[in-house]
Formats: sequence, C-alpha cells, structure tokens
Amino acid sequence: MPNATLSEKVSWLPIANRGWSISSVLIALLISIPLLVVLSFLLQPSNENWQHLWDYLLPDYLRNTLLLSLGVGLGVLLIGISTAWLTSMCDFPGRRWLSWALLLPMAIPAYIIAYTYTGMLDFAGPVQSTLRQVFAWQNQDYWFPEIRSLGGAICMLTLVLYPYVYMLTRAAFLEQSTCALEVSRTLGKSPWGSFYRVALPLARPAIITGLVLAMMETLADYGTVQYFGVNTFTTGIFRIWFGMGDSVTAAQLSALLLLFVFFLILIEKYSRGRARFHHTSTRYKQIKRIQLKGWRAVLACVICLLPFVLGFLLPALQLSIWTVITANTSFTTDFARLFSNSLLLAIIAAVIAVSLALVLAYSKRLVATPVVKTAAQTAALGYALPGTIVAVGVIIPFAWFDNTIDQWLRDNFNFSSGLLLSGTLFALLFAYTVRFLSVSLQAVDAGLEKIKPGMDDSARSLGLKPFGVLTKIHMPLMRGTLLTALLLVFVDVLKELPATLILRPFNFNTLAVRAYDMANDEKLALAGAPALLIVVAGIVPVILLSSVINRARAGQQP
Amino acid sequence: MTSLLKVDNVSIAYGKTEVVHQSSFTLAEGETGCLLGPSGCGKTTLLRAIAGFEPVTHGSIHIAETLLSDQNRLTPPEQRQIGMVFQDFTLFPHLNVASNIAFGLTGNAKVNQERVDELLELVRLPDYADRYPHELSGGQQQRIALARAIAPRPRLLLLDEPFSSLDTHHRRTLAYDVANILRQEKITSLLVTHDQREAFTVADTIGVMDSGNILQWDSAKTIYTSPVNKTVASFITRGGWLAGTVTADGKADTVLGLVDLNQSSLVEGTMVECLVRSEDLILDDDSPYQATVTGSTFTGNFTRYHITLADQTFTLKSADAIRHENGTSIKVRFQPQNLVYFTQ
Repeated sequence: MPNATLSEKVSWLPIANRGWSISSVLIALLISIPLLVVLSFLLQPSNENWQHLWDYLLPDYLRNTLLLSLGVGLGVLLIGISTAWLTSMCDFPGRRWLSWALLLPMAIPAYIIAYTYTGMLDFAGPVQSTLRQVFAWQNQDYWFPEIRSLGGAICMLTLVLYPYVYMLTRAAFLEQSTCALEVSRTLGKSPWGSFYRVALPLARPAIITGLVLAMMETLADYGTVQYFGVNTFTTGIFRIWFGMGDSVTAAQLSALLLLFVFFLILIEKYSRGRARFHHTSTRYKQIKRIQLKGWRAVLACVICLLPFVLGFLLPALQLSIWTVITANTSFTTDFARLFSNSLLLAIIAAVIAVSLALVLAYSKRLVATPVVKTAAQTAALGYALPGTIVAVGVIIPFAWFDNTIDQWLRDNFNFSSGLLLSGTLFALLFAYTVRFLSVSLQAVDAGLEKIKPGMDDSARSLGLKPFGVLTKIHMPLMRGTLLTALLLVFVDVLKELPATLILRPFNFNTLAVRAYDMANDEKLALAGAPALLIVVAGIVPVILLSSVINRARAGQQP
Repeated sequence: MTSLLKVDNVSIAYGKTEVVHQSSFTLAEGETGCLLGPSGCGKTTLLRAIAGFEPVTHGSIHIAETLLSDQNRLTPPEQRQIGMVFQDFTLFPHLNVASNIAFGLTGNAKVNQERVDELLELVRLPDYADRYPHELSGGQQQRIALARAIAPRPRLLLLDEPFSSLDTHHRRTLAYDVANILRQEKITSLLVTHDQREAFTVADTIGVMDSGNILQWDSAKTIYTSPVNKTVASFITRGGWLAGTVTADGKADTVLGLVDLNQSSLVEGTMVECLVRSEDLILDDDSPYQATVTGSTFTGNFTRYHITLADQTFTLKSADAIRHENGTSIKVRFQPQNLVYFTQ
C-alpha cells in the first residue's frame, strides 16, 4: 500500500483530503518561484556593472526612493487621517457624498494622474496659458513649479494613495465604541484630547496598515517616476535590464528593493502583534457627530473636497477632454484590438487567480495543518512584490527553462524549439497570478469564513465529497464574493504597467501600455482614451469597497 | 447635609420626542442615589444629561450651586468633574490597567502612582497593574472601570447599569462590593438600574421612574413599605392585588376575609386594592380560605407557588417539605406586615 508508507514517512500530510493539501503546497511553491529566484541573486557573485552601480547610481536611487517613500508616507497620513476623522466624527454640509467620493482617487493609477497633471501644468497647458494671458507675462519672465520632479512625484502618488489610509482609518474610527470617547470626556479630556489619547491610538494598527500599503505601492511605482525622470530602484532595474542587458545586476538590485519591502512588512506585523485592540465594548451607540457650523463647517468641507477634486475630478475631466478631442484618431480598429487584448488578459488572469484562491482557501478549511496554512500565506506574499520584481523573477527562470530545452533538443535532435515560455502570454499571466493571487485569496477567505462549518458537515453526512461541498454549497453561497474577487483582480490587471511592459509578447499591446507609449512619445492627448477606460473600470471596485465600509459599522442599521 | 446635586424640573427630548418630563430630585453630599425603572423609562437619558452628554430642554441641573445645564447652557462633560462608569466594559484596550486608572489624573508621576496603587488596593486587584483589559474577567474590568472613574476624585460618580453585563453571581457580589466602596469612600453617587435588588443593595435613596417621570424619590425602606401608587408598588414588590369593599367599621371585605385598613376615613362601599406580597400569604390548614395551585417552582430552600382564588392570582413562598401539586387546593391566610392599599 503506497499510501500507508507515504503517510508514515510524511507525518505532516494528514490521511484525509491529501489531494487538497498537496495542491495547495504545489501552488505555493509555483507562486514563490519569482521571489526565490530574485532572492537567490543576493548570493551570486556580482559583476563589474555592480561596481558602477554602487559608485554612481545607487546613492541617487537610494536617496530618491527614500525621499519619495517618506514624502508620500507623510502626505497620505496627513490627508488620510484628517479626512477620516472629519467624515466619521463630524457633520458638515456634503459629508455623506464626500465620504464616498474621497475613495475615488483610488481608481486612478499613479502613472495616469502623472500624465494628466503634466498635460495641465506644462508650458502649453491650460494653467500656464491662462496665467500668461491674464497677467500678460512673457515666456521666460515668470517662475512656475516643475511638476516633473521628485516633489511632483510625491504629490501625484499622495493624491492617489491616501485613500488606503483614509479607508482603513475611517473604518477603525467607526468601529470604535463611542463609549470609549465618552469615558475620556468624563475623565476631563476635551474632544481634541480624546482624539489624541483614545481614538488615534485605538486606530493606530489600521493607520499603519494603510500607510504600509501606500508605501509599498510607492516602492512598486514605475510609471510615475519613469515619466518624471526621477531615478529610483524600479527605474534602475529597467535601465540595467534594457540599457545594459545585465540580468544579474538587475536581479540584485531587485533583491535590494525587496529588503525595503520586507522592512515595511515587518513594521506592519510588529504594530499588529503589539496591538491588543479587542473591542471591549459589545454595544455600539449611533455615533453622535459633532455638528460643525460657520467657518469650521466650510473648512471641513474644503479639507475633504480638495483631495477629491485634485485626486479625481480634475484628472478625470482632463482625460475626458483628451478623449473627446482625439476621438477620431483614438478609436480605430487598432484601439479595438488593444481593448480586447486588455479585456481578455484581465478576464483570464482573474479566473486563474480566483480558482487558485478557491483551492487554497478551501484546503485551509478542510485541513488546517500548519503546512497548508503556511502554503496559503506564502501564496499571498505576491502583493508585496513590485511588478518590476515579479517580471524579473519570472523572466529569468523561464528563459533558463527555454534555453535548456532548446539546447537539449539541438544537442540530441538537431532541432531548435525557440522560446516556449518567455515572451508568451503564459509568462504574463503567470506574473499577474503571482502578483494578484493575494487579492482574490483575501476576498475568498473572508467569504468562506462566513459559511458555518456545520454547513460542510451536514453536506458531507448527506453524501457529498469535499469537491462537491465546494461546488454545490460554498460556490453558490459565495457567488457575490467570487464576483467581487474576479472584479478586483480584473481591474488590477487592467492597471498593471511595469510587469506588462517587460513580459508582453512582441507587438502585443494593452490599454496601459498604449497610455504609457503615447505619454512617452509626448502625445499626451492620445493617452487620454486608454487611460479613461482604465479609470472607468477602476471605479467599480471603489463602489464595492465603499459599501463594505458602510457595513463595517457594528450595531448600526445600514 | 447640604445638597450636592440638584436636578430641578428637567425635561429632555430626542428631536421632538420628550423622553424625560419635568423631573426633580436632590442628592446630598456622600449620599448614594438610584434611578430605578424598566428599560426605556428615561433613566439613562437623565443620567447622561447629568454627565453632560445630552442637553436639557427645560429646567436645570446644578452641582454644589454651580449651574451645569439649562435650556441655554451645556457645560462640556470634561469640565463637570463628574465620573462615570458605563454599562459595557469601556476600559481603553490600548492601555494597561495602571494607565487606564491614571488616565484622568493630572498630577506628577509619583503622586499618580500612589493614587493608582491606592485604588488598586481599594478594588482589591493590587497585582493587576500591568495587565491589559482583555486579560481580565468582566467583573475585574468593571472594578478597574470604577477605580478609573473615582481616581480623579470626581464631585459626583454616575453608574449606568454597571453590573448588567455580568452573570448573575458576579452581579450580586460586585454590587455588594461597590456599595461598600462608595460608603467607605463617602462618594456621592447616582446609580441607574432596572434591577430592584441591585438598587436596594447599593442605594440610600431610590427614585422609581416610569415613562419619563420620577414617581417617587425616597429611602429604600419607605419605597418598600409606603409606595405612592400602584405602579411603584408593582415594580418594587411584584406582588398581587386583592380587591375589596370598605365596610361600615372601616375594614375591607375581600375573598381572603376582612382586612384591617388601620384608618377608617374611607366611605363605606369604596372599592380598594390591597398589595399582597409573597411573604404576606401563609399556608394555614385552619384557614377557611381555599386557593388552587396553578404552578410551582422549587428553589431549594423554599417553594414558590402560584395560586388563584376567585380569579385573582397571587404568589406565596413555603418552606414546607410537602410539595403541593398543580390543581390541588391549599388553605391560605392573608397576614400583611404593613398593609399597602389604594382606592380604585
């Protein structure tokens, strides 16, 4: 009996549901290939390019990456916390729709907002033209801030990333028992004192999670810094890969960037581990919002209005204008192909990611052994990997595989197989899966948790196999959750830029790539149509998210 | 004794619905008061108005002659020096026990430390300074919440259903402990509860509330022996009512015989209702009055019977070993300790 010997030898493998355990471990191993490949280059001897990099480029990369991360971190904290507090604890005209509208900048990828502001603020753009007309300035006799700079990049990223902090902090404020704030008042603290000493510390884990997410996105950004000519790690990886054709040094630089990411993950884990923020109160009262009147109400309204206007309304308007004025040249048969390419890629990637997430989440439910749990956690690590790094980690092993097969066939059969994996859609889809599996896994996990274990037991006792339970009970029950998961991955794939740029097959274009190409060819207006489509698609998950937040408030009637 | 808290003709409304109507009472320095009433009677609202969380629409609230609330004034909670213990365990989860207690203290670190130690001793949890709230039981959390509320030496302590989140056993012991602490420290306090036993355990003076009105404001003993109306009597004793007609010699003629009404100023033929507490009925084989057992509960040291007699229902307690079955007849006698009756 081979099975008996297997279970004797491998004690971590439980007798029941072995297939599910093995599948989830295999998925985790596959997903961690890019990460392991990149990290392995830390142990490889460096070449002469590394010395050059170390002496001339790295100090610049390091300085820019650090300043960018710190600037964005500060910016998202300032905007995110203040708007979260105002919309959850105060009442002022427009609060209701603003608390939703403040999420909308999330729908705009950073590189797209960078293109729109460049178009609006450059010399020929509407802002400077108007200023020149109004004040009759000449071309050279005035100073105007340069948007394509480090400071500009900080502003752009802050405008689209603050919703992470806003969303999580707001949810934390809403979940807090109002009693905690009232106790603080009876102990002699003013409303502001209560905010600093009770509400803010209670929300700290949520704030830090939001901050870490925003900073990870900042480290992962390629489109904005590339367009603004700010040299960071991600642009460095591109330059070394394509400019010098040196994959070893590019991988080593990737590994270095990964250390930054790990540092962020550690901060997040540490802040959560220390937090013993269980809600000690079981009852929740309707929050009594502070009624703001007069200039305070106006100020609150402006504070909440600005991020929405600057982060969503103006860019969306600019994109719409560009789309309209270039409609004749934009919407061609070529554009239809772009559109269908993007759609197809995003749909396939979403289906793969959600299917794998179902296997992982359900295995964890069936066999809650440490190995299976670790497998699920490992598979979710991709969210932390910048797209550039995923691409490097995919292309290196794939190229090695292709070359090895090719060499072997040549040696033995005098036949060349060419490229089998690299430069194909398969490589691109694999990269998307690595990057976005965690997005679907999170959604599916949450959906499964809502189904009581008794449901599984009764289905099993009525004769269903585990797979039957998944397809006949869980999947119909979580139809909404699965759709959400599909949609989240779909939109993320649509927005993805750096991995797509590196891994796409020759002459294969997507909406994101087209926007990138047009912007880099100084044809900003032509970037409008593809960018607008991405933004419109991105609004859908934002709507979903906002309804989730509204339901997060315990004890409050929706 | 001078009055510390003065609630004068206070009305409170949520929007257009008035939930407390022109209620008044005073609390003397060092006294423990209690607002007792069913849920929804407005007692918590009145407490929150005293704390400064709700504005009043009519009347005023004073502490030691200082005006805190009236139609045009609402001193913020943090300026009132009023401590409060809430129903839920509202310890700050991000602070340990010592920091929770020290939260409202303003002195220097050494003085605060002494005060914290003193309070931990007082609530009998001296070794818990470094624990976090989630490591404590419900009763322990509520003790710490009490310590935190009295740490800054508030002028008045408010307790909003402080024991109702606990299980029955802990509720009784904690109520007893809290009563001792309040008396020992001479803390002027006001408790809100729907539990009559809690009110009697903790409070010197009790206000019975119903539908936004304070029906009676008196000592526990007075409320028990001389309730002002049927609502108060029913709520406090949960007894039955015995109908009777006043006779020429000033007694009440009832199905349980003639009842002496003590003073006979009532006109003959007046209808009255006498309160029948379970301890006022006794089993007596020589009694001419027979009642039917409709239900019984064995509680260990006694059995509580539900009985009917001429369509009126009563309860009585019996320590007899014999268990009377449902449907059987028992002989009872009405022997009130102090009679409470109301004319109809």
